[in-house]
Amino acid sequence: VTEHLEDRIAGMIRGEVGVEVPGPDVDLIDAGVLDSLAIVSLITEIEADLGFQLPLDDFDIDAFRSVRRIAAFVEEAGP
Amino acid sequence: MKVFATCPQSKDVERNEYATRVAEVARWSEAAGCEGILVYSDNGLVDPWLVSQRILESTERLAPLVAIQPVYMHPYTAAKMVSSLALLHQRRLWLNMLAGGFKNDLVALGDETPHDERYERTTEYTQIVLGLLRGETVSLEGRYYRVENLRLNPRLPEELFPGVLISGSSPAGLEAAREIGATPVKYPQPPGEEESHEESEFGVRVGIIARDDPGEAWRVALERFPEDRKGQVTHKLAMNVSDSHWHQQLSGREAGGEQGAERHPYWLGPFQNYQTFCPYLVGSHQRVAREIAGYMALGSTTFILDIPPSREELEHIGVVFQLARDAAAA
Repeated sequence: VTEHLEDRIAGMIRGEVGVEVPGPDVDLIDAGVLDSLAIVSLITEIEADLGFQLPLDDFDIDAFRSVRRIAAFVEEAGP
Repeated sequence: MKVFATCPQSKDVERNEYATRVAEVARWSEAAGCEGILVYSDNGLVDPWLVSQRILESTERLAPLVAIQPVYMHPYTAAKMVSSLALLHQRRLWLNMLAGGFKNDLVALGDETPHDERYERTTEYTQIVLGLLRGETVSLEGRYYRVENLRLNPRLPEELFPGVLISGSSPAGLEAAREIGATPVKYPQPPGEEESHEESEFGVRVGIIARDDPGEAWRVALERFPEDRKGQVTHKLAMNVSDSHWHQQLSGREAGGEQGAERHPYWLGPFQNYQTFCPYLVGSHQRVAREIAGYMALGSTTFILDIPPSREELEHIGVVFQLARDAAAA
């Protein structure tokens, strides 16, 4: 399930910024793949895709550094 | 120029806090220099006359602007409310005459009168109310009401005769306004697109969020009325990221995303997404004052604001109207 989710998220990032994600553990922020506005778009796309809202009141940017971390965050937040 | 605030609605406030909240907002409005405060009326809310009584008790000179929908009471009773409150508080009221309302409210009361006829009814109703308040003996064989040699006691002192507004800008609404001598109140277009009303004065219903800095005004506006999920996410991230560049990037997007250019103040976001009843003007005090002065130049004499969330917001609005008055006088 997790791997499937990682693939979907990598696909969304590709669609959003037009860059192939090099690997699930690559720091996408340091690598310059994701900036703040791309993360906003990614969050709304994940929410639309999965049908629930992610908890953002204590938003921590580290949860969005890599595909693996994003997938873990989303899975944790899932219904 | 007359400025009215709007009173909080009982459905939006905790039961045991509502009376306190009404008194508080009324005092803020008075301190900010408002002429009065609009009190809504519909099937889901506390009675507007009793809320008005509360406002009168809590302030020195603020005038409740009572929304009056004819289906709720006979015109004689409405006139009696006005003269009774005047006797008890030596205060002048304003009346906001309604022809419409929530359709379900009217249907639930067995009223399916069509739109234009509702304006005829409101006209007849208001003629009776105002005749009684002028001290006349009223006889009227109307389509909706029949009264004969009707007189009102207690009499209303002349200086407390109410100001009258009427909601609606349709041809039927404007005709009703002319017949009863009321100021018609409408939801405005941006001043540049609003038609001139040189023949008669009018009022506009408009919310205002103003700060010294337009970016700050938009930040406050979007915090109160996030535009969509993307706007909400942007706001949450902007509040939580510590990186200053990211913060700037997100806040810039929140403020409309037009880097360098000040976003136009006229904003329908709250109207479209949050069931507020009016468009908003958002921006710097100066910029919003220019829009207000634009409406004044078209003949607007009356401004009805949205429900103020805080005393601070009304103080900023006070600055806007002072600037607009200065601009109009210059």
